[in-house]
Amino acid sequence: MVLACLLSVIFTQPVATMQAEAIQTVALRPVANLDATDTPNDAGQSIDISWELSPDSARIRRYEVYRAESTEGPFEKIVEFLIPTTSYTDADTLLRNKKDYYYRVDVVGKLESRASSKIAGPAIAKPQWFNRNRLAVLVFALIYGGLVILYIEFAKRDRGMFVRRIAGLDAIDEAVGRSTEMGKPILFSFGIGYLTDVATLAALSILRRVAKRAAQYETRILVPNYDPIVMTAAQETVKQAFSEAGRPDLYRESDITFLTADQFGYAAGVDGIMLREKPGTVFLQGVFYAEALILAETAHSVGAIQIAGTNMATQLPFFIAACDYTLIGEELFAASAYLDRDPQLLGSLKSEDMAKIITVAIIAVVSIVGTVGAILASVSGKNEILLSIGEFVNDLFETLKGFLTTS
Amino acid sequence: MKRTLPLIITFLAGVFVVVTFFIPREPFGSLEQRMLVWASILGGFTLLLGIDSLIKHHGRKLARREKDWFYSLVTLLGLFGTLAAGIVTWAKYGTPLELASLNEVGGFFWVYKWVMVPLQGTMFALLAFFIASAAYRAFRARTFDATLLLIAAILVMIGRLSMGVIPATLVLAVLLVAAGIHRLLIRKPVFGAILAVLGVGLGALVLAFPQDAIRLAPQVQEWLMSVPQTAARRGILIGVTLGTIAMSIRIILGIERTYISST
Amino acid sequence: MKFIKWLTNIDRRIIFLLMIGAVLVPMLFTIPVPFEVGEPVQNAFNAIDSLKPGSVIMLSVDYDATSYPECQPMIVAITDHAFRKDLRIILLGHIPTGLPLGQEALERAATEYNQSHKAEYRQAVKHAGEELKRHTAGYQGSLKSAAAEFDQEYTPRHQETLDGLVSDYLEKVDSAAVKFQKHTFEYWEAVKYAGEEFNRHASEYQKRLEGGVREKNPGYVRILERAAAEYDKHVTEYQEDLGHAADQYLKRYGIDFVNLGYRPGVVAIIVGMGREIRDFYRKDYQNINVDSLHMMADVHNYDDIATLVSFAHGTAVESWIAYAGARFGQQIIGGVTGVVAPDLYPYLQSGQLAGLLGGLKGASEYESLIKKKGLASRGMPAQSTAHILVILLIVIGSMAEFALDISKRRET
Repeated sequence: MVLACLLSVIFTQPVATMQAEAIQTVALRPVANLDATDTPNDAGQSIDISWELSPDSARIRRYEVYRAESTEGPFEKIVEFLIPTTSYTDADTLLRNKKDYYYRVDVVGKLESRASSKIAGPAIAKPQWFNRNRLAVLVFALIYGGLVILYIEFAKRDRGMFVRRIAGLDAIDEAVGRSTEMGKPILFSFGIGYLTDVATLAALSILRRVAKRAAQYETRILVPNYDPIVMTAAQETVKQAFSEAGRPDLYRESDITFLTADQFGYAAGVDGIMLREKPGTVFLQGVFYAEALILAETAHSVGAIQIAGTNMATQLPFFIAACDYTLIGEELFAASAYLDRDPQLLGSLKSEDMAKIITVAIIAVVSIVGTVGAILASVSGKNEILLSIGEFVNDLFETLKGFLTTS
Repeated sequence: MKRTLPLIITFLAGVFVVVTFFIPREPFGSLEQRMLVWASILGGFTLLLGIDSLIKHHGRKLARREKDWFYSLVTLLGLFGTLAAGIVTWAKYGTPLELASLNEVGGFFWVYKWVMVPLQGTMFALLAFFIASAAYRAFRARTFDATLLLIAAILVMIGRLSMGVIPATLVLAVLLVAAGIHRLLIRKPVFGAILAVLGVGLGALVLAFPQDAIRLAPQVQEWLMSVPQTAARRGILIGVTLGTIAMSIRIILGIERTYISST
Repeated sequence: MKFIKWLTNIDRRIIFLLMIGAVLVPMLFTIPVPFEVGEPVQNAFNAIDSLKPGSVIMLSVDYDATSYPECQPMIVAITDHAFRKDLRIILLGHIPTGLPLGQEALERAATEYNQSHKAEYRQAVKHAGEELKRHTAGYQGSLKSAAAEFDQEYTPRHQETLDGLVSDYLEKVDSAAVKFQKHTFEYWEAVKYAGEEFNRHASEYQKRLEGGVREKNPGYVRILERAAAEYDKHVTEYQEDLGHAADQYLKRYGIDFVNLGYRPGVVAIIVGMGREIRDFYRKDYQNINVDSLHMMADVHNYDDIATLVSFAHGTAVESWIAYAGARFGQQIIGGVTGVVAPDLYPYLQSGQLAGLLGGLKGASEYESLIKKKGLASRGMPAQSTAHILVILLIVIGSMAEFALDISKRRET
């Protein structure tokens, strides 16, 4: 009995101490391999920090990231995470001052026990001169630019460069003639594009041709507009065309007006003009959205023939269904080259085709590589050769994909 | 000089923007954003030009009592009335885009809600009528291409029905059979036979498995939209994009000069 | 033969008339149409249905009046669903002319919710009033018995105390009424009722006191004061009960939903809200400080927002996915027009979109899931009949042309 009491006294104390030591000795292990580097391809105000999780992740309550200007500190906490994380991008505007910075990641567990990682650094946030992610774009731009210049040279030498027939453009003269015979005006609409849209610019060159013919045949031409700048460009173009045709007296500025900058308001306005003036020919060239079909159908209902052209893929089906002639996408861009037959413009047209061929070839090659890789991956089974071929092909595909996609 | 100065400005601006695309370093990195902001500020001022043209044109018609001068009056009243509503709301709340003006008679958003919204909705609704008359006119099975277009269009429409899937598919089957007979009679036996067989087959399948047909119809529509349609759309997109690039290069290099008055 | 020729060239005005009929008739006679709910819509529904009460969802209005028929039923259905699940809503938008439409949907959902819970609210208020009446009676009782016990005389001091209590009470009631705003018109009625009751009891008691109670004992005053304190407590409880009733049965602006209004700059805002919403929205659409809106106290950035729904007719959903979803892990649901929906399927497949409502069909599927037929369900049969009409027209036109062609060839 006494011995039991003695023993209990002897053993209670040390056990308590042992327990206390147990809490202290099994310390948290910090995160490992802390790395701090400048973020690439940016304007120079961020540093990427990464690390590997501590083996004691389960016991860790939070991660704290500290930053200082020297290894001695003082370190200030810049962010903390409550879930296991392995990286952080420090994008503080402070980093623009091109100083060295040092980083440390602390893990904090129960009872605020803490373990610090080794300090990483120095790291400076540097701006880069070239965004490597966009390398593919640069390569392609240079190739394309080179092609354009090359083919322009070819075209200057070869006068009779072949361009296939584009029905919509061939029909312009005939359409203007038809209007003249019926004694009705011509209506030309740019849709709801701005002068910054290339489709509107392409449409301007068609307008010039149409206006010239209209002047020659003494037919009136109406151009209602959605955008004031396009309106002024149209006024200039038509006035110029009428002068070139030798009939500047026929030019009426009041026929080229601004309607409104609202989509459906514009459509309603143009519809009204079509129903009142009953044009014999309607040109719908440029950028169109939902109002495309409204304009086309109303034109048909007044008995006009319509020549449409747009690069808006969503409206092409409506134009093709409703209009007599449609210029699809780049046929519209080809207008100025086609109508003027200027060698420089024709040359750039050819280069477009060549670039298209190259693009299709790249797509085909990469798709085939990817497909073959996927098939091999699922079929190879235990065959060593097939496995390694499959791996190589998949790696090739990933590399190509990585190169071709940009951010 | 009048001719070359715009070309020089275009060239410099174009090259500059292209170069800044590749340089993330300040000040180039944020230049693109800044220039977009400048463009939209300039755009705001150009609206004044348009309004000037509008007022002149309709003012003249009104003053000279030309044909339809009454509508010019309506246009000008609409222009100045909305302007007034915006100014009143601005004076009251500090911004014309004040949601509270939705419920006040004469407030800017009140005008929007009771005038703009119904009018825009009406114009948009016209599309329903026009698509019917355009489809009726254009989708005739005259040639092989047109027949394909027709079948695809009807299949997509059937896939979006919430009722009447079976009768509609039967109607399509009847059309196919009729087209087949037509082709047979005009001495195109192969094409005709294919169409007729397709029609009969479709009709039989739909009658035999009506539940499956109702379930499959939306999936057929989705396949048509997400595979052939997307492929074609992407093809057009690539072509248009390359055309846009070529056009832009032509403008930057000064080869394309239609936007300047003199060629 | 003339008839067949006519069939190949039907006057467009007849086609328009037929179209009007095809669209109007199903809308006038609502036809119940069974249909299956697609997976994208089901996923969207589940995402919202599984949220805990009190969670915050953000609705972004990225469409305008031209897409009203397709997008408005979606936002109406989702706000209804959200209120039903006691979720809190933040409304904002990137298209300024669309925000009035979003506000309309929100107010309508709140009003409908309040209307449908009016009975329960009234019941709760009545119950709170009865509790108060009971305690009033108790107060009167203890005053009466104290008066009887001490056989006190009625003095002006008692009058003051009583007056003081009455005006105190009315003051509290008034301030509570100001706190609860326009959605609680029933509150005014209840408050008025309680006030009248109290006045009636107080004046009755006054009359009795006047009948011969004298003050002789300070103990009497103490009892008076203690009874008054008790009564005070019950009045406070009454107000709290009213507050709880309102919390439970009413949806009020600032507490259950807020509208932050429009700010220009799409991407900057989407990215910036990942850090702090107040960096861009310091005031709401009525220029009330965001920090004084009760609901916004614990909402700072995407971490506090359970789900975000973007109603769009353009490319807004892609912006939300790219900046809020990819960078901050925000769950995104899309509610878009039929034309835009196919472009978003890849995001559904990759899991970047938690759900998608596409076009009128998507809206009507969602309405059937929340079991509340709205505009979309009414419109779907019309959409189907319109489709059927177009199919018939095309088929008739084609077949008539075949017949014509054959007869022409026979003649030659």
